[in-house]
Formats: sequence, structure tokens, C-alpha cells
Amino acid sequence: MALHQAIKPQFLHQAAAGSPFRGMLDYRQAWLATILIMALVTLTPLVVTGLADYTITERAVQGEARSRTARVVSNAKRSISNYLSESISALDLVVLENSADQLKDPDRLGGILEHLQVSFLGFADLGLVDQNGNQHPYVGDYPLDRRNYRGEAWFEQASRKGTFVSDVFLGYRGAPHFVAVVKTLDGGGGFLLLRAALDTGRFNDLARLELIGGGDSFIINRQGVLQTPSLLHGPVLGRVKLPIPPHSEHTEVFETTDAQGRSQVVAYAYIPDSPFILMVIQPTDELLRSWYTTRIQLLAFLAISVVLILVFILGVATYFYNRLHRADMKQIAMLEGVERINRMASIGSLAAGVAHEINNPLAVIGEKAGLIRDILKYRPETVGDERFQGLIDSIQRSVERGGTITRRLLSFTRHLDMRIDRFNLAGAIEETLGFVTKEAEYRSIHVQVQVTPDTLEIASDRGKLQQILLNLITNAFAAMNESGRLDIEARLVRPDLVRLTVADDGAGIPEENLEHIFEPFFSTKKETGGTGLGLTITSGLVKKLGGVIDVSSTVGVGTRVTVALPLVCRPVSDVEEEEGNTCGSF
Amino acid sequence: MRILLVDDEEELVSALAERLSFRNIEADWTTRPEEALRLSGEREYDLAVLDVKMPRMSGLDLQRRLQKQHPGLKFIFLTGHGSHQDFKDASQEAWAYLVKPVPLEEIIDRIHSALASGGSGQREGKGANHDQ
Repeated sequence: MALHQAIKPQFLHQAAAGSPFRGMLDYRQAWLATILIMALVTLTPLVVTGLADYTITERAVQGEARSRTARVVSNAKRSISNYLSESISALDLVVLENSADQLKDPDRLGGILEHLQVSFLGFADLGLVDQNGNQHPYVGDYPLDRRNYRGEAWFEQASRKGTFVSDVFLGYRGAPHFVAVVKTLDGGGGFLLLRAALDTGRFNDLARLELIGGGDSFIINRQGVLQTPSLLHGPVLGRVKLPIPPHSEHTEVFETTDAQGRSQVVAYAYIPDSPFILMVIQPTDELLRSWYTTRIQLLAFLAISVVLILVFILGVATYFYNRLHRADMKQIAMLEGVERINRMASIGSLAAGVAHEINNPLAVIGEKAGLIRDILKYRPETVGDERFQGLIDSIQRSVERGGTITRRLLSFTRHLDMRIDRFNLAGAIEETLGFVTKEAEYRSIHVQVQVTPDTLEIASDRGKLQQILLNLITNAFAAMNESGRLDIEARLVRPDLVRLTVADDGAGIPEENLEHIFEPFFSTKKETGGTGLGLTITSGLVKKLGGVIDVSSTVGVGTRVTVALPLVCRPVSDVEEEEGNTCGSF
Repeated sequence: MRILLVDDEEELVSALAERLSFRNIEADWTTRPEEALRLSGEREYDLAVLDVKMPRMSGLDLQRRLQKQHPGLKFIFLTGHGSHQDFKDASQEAWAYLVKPVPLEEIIDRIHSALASGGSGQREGKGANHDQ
């Protein structure tokens, strides 16, 4: 079965056809409500857990990305810090192992530089600066012997602190480098500074980190000047386009946006005992790339689950409501069939009376015609035209009498469908009584009809109203003995409301049965052929005419059935109902 | 031969009486059971043709009362109904049970065969004409 057939109910656009038993259940509404409730019950937990999972995973992935970056920065900070302290330690070892005099020997200093260059990477030159700022001796490639550094910032700081690592700068040599300085005591109570220049090759290597997910890593000094080249911010000694992060003992991570507004994760660490700050900048998108794939899978899974569940719910709801609908339709069709059968059965049960009503005029016609023939045969001369005229009139009256009853029968059995006409109520009651007058006569039942006002006209379905009446009258007759009395009263009790009362003085209905009399198949006459559907059908017909039916009864006194009907039956033109199916209630 | 006709259809019963008279069967008629009882008290009849269903007194009741007055009286029932119960009741009590409309010749046949049979009012074998 195609999917849309499986999930589209048969009753979706189907208006309820005319029947007094319609309106049992609003399938469309019930179907929709079921689907909504089922969807709510199943989808809410799914969506809530799905979204919670999503949020938790997203946070975890982001946290993981940040801590990974922080870890990388933290490790690199340690490496750089080690590198710097190794350099300082090497110089410390030199001043420990060598006396001031030995250091002042250029050859010895040259030897020391050679050793340093072998054991440690980056040492470019070495010089001894006295407390007046004069550098001598100096070993290295640049003409820096006897240069005076007094007044320079590094000289001041190194003199004060004992050790010093400088920013990267170009200096006299015109190449980026930085200097490491250690202080030692001179023999005469003064001090000496051992100053080493380190090229930035090793330093740059340490700052250039392997970053998973891309990004940029570099070192700046505390003024925001690049100490190593940056992919994003340019070459050494350029200025970074970032605020200088506040000082922290530990590695810090924060999120920010770049000039293009893209989110990025920034991690930094202050390298201890140096002017350096290691910085790593990674685009958030790159860091979370794996999460994005997972996210799409997660959302796709959620969406597919939702769609599958909805299709399943639709399918199940549609299947069951279709079955229910079909079963109800079958029942309605059956009840409609029963309604039709009831109508025919009413006639059937009256067949004897009806046959009498037809056979009697036929017999009269037969005898009158026979008499005319006899007169012509036996005594044509003795009889005048007047006699023949009278006989022929009698035949015609009998034909009319027979015709009336067959017409009445036809009008009663025809028109099962709703048809609203305006008609005289007294006439309709009289016509219905025509079916039972003979029976009433034979059983000496006195039938009294009173319609107030007697010209009362009602707009309703004549056939259905007559069936209601006939059902009530035959019920009453069944409960009555010889010489009973049946009162039929119709009264306009409100400008828009007619009350029809059928009251008998028959056996009455026991109280315990009274509440069941409208239920289908409830009958106390089952042995004698009662179906238990008469009053069910009658009540259905009354509802269809927009009325209400009420029964009161006292055992041994009689039964009174009251039917309240709208004076004018206005077809309910609800969307649900086809026009003209049912009359609006008053 | 004198016959009593009782039926609540005056037009039927009067015409029937007149047609019988053409055939030399003397027939009195009435539409009321009480009148029938009065007539049978006054005159002697050979056979009564009764409608089964009449207001106030059914043909069967009338038959029983007439029988009491004249035990030798024979009966033919006429009915417009033809209900099964009527047939059962009436065919117990009468020579014939005829459903209207009945051709006159058939009524006359039944009258003749009833009167020819003599004896009681009931036909032997309880058979009855019930063709509709």
C-alpha cells in the first residue's frame, strides 16, 4: 500500500451522509487528537534527550578542544622556559667554573663560547661587561668589543636582578636575537656581567607548535611586539593586532573573534623569568570540525527518528480509525437498513387492515358492476338512467377509496431520504391514522385527535414524522385492550416548538424497563416477534427531525410519549454534515 | 331459500342482495349485527353470509349467537382481511370462508352446496375455500 494511502484516513474529507444514527464519533477530530497525543508522548522524551545529548556533547567537545589547546600551550611554555633556564644555567656554570680573571681572558672566553655552541643551540656570541658598562672581552662575529652598555635597560636590570633575559631585538648586528645575562662578583668588590646573545632559530622552533586543527602560535613580549614570526600577525618585531592578555601564572584560554568576526580560541602563557608570552590562536570552526560532523549525524538521526515515529503513529492511528470507521459505517448502514425494514414492517403488520381497505371497495365495485349487468340482463326495461348513474357513482367512489389507500401506502414507503416540506399537521396525522382506523374500529379503541391550532402547519419531513407517529400508535395499540382510548395531541407550545403527545390507557411500562426502552434490541415482545428496534428507530427519527422524545408511563394506567419538534426544520449545514441530513434542534 | 346477509359495507351488501334476488334467492341484508339478530328472531333463514370483521361485534360472535337461536343455520364467512388467524377461526365454524372480492357465482355455488349437504352448519373435513 502506498504510504499516503496508509496514513490518509478514508473519512478525512468524507461528510457524514444522512442517517438518524450519525454523529456517533467525530473521526477526524478523534484521529487528530490521537495522533497529537501519541506524537507528544513519544516525541517529547526523544527530542528532550536528543537536545540534552546535543548540548552536553557540544559542551564536552568544546571543553575538550580548549583543554587540548591549553595543554599544547602548557607543554610549549615548559619547553621554552626550560630552554631559557638552560641557557641561563649554562652561563651560571660558566661564571661558577671560571674566576673573574679567567673570564677576562679572551682566549678562554672564546673556548667557552665554542663549548657552549656545541652543548647548547643558539649561542651566537659572548661578552663580559664590567660594572661601568664596558664590554671586554667579546668573542663573536660582530665588532662589539669595548662597547659600552651603561644606561641601557638590560644593563640596569641585570645589574639589579643578577640574571636577565632580553626581548628579541635587531641591535647592531641587524638580525633578530635576544640576550641572556648573568651577574658574578669581581675581585675588587665590583661585579661583572656575562652577556650572551642567542639567535632566534631554536627559539622560533620552540614557538612554532604543531597544532591539530590548524592555527597560529607565536611569542610576544609584554608590549605586544612579535618575538617569533606569526602566520597571522606577520614577521618578527611586528605588532600583534590583539590586546595583550593579562598576566597569569598559569596557562589561560579564552574565546574571542577575529577581525572577520570568526570565533577563535586563544590560549596563552607567561614564560617565567622572561618578557615572553606564548600565544596560540586556533579558529573555533577548525577545532570543532569533528563535532560538526557528529552534530550533523546526531541531528539527522533525530530527524529520521522523528519522521519514522510520525509515519508509524500516522499509520497506526489511520489503520485503527479506518477500521473503526468502517465498522461504524457498517453499523450505520445496517441500522439504516433496519429503519427501512421497520417502515416496511409497519406496513406489513398493517397488511390485514390495508387489504381490508382495498378488498372492500373492490368487492363493492365487483357487486355494483355485476348488478348493472344483472339489471341489463334480467330487467332492462324497469330501471331508469338514474339507477345506473347511482351505481356508477358508487363504483367511482369505491375506486377513489381504494386509490386513497394505495396512494397513502406509496407515500409512506417512499422517500427514505430526508425531504423537508411544509404541510398541515392535522392532515398528516389523519392520513397516518388511516392505516389503523379499521383496527381501532374492530377493537373498539377510541382515537381522539386534537391539533391546536387546527390549521397548524409544520415544515418537516412528512414521511419520517408519519413513521414516528405510526410506530407510536402501533406500540400503543399493542399495549391496549378492547375499548381503550388513545389521545393524540399536537400543540404549538412555543412560537418555534410543536409538542406531539401520544397517550394511551394501556398496560403501561414497568419502571425498570422504562430506562431501557430506547436501547436497541430491548424488547418484551421477543416471543411474539418484537425486534426491540421500534423505539430505537423512532428516537433516531425524532433526533433527525431535530426533536426530543420522552416517555412517561404508569403500569395499569397508561403510557404517554411526548415528542417535541421544531416548527420549522432547518437543515444543519455543518461542514461535517451534508446539507439536509438532519434538522437543527430548537 | 332465504338468506341473511350481514356486512358493514352497505353498498356491497345491498347490491349482493339484489343480485341474489335476480337469481331467485331471497336475501335480507343489514349492516348491523344487532339488526341481524333481530331479523333472525323474526324470520327463519337457511343460511347466513357474515362479514368476519365488523364494528362492535365480530362476525364470529354474531355467528355464535345466531347459531344459538337457530342451531340448524349454515354460515358462510366473507372477509376483506384474509389474515391467517381469521381463516383459522372462521373455517372452524363455517361452511366456507371467502375473501373479498368474490364472484357472485362462487357465493351461489357455496350456498347451494351448503344447503345441499344438510346436517350441521359445519362442512366435513373442516376444509374451506381460502384462495386469494
